[in-house]
Amino acid sequence: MADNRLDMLGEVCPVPLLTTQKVISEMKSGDVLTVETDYSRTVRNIIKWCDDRGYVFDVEDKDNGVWLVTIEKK
Amino acid sequence: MKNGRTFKKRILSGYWPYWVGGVLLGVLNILLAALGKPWGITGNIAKWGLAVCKAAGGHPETWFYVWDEPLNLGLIDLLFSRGTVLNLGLIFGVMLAAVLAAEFRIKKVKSSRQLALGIAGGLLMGYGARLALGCNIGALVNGIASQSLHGWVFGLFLILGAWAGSMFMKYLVSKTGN
Repeated sequence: MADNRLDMLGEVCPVPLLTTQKVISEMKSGDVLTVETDYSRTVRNIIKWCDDRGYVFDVEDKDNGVWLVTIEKK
Repeated sequence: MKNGRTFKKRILSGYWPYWVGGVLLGVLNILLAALGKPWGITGNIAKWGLAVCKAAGGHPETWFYVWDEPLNLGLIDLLFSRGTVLNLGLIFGVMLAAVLAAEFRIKKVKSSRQLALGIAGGLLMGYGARLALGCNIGALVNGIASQSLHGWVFGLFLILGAWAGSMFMKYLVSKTGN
């Protein structure tokens, strides 16, 4: 199990979701990815995508307007 | 991994639904139209550009672009004009919403690439909006609301442009990963 981190600060839709999808597609099952974003719509996008695929996720408020989305690949 | 659910609840139901925003936009726009003319954003920004050009010694009033209305390009008059007040109100309102949602922060520029892309995108959007004589608000919403064909034409090409832009983004991400 590996931990990956993705810095998406300053990136707007659809780049964070597309990049997240790409990184996750290259990960192994059970690996964890943490995406850092400052765009609230990105959080919505990513958790909707996780829900559709049945991936477990967590969202943490890191700071005002900054979120950490942690996703575990199934 | 249990907080995800509560956050999801907040971010989906904590914000107003789209239809509330749409109705508010419609009602306020009717109010603005009754008080003179419907809402617009970029016309005022273009006037600022012309005013700065004039203040710097240029003669923008002779340009083809300003054929449609007589222009008052005095900086003080412009500052207290309807368009400037509406635009400053827009910025202030967005800031207020961000502060109330505890999402306000000054974003750092991460790279010169991001800065260059932002400036290039802004220039293209601004130039395009003035060629079309309006943005999403002035040309699309008000165009369609006033039964003008140009609103629908604007909308069609807006969708095409958004689709092409998304395809391009997808291609860039698949190539470089960012």
